[in-house]
Amino acid sequence: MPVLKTRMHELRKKFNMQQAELAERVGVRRETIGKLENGRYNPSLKLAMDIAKVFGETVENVFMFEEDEE
Amino acid sequence: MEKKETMNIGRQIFLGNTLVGVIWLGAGFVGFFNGVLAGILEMIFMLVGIILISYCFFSEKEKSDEMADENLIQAGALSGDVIYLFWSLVAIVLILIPKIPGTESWNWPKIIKQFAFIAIGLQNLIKGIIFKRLEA
Repeated sequence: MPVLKTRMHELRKKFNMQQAELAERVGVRRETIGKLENGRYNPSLKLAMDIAKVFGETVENVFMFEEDEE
Repeated sequence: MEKKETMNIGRQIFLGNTLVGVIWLGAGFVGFFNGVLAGILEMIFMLVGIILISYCFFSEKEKSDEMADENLIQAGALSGDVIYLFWSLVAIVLILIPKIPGTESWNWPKIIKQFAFIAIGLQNLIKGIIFKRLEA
């Protein structure tokens, strides 16, 4: 089954951005960003688009489906 | 100007649901006993519960977000299912017990009231625990 993967952590490091800063910019809690990065929460389309916009990327460049190895 | 500290969502749910749930449960079980001490204890439980709910209500709160909203809905739905099961069991007990000889003199309105307290407590407690697990 495909699982949602994200490049958020990588992009956040590239932009030298803390989780709290990204959370504030997209209007969610820091905990939500943490869960998104760990792949334990699937964002709404609006949140995914907001996050992609912060990094100047398209949604599919930040979030992508990958086949689960298990 | 000093910034007013906000209460995060985890703490809001812990105080307003988990802890208040334990208090309602306490009040529910204590109320099954007769006597002045049981009455006083029940009142103390209720008073602490009201203070906690008021504290949560009037405190400066952290703004919720989509994950917290989703987790709250899920926790509420699951705790609702547990309470549905609880009331079903209580209904069966309430149908069967009056058929046992010697139970005619039992104070049924009080017993049902205590079950209601326990149900409120259980629902809040379970909601708080599930929310905490979903957020972890």
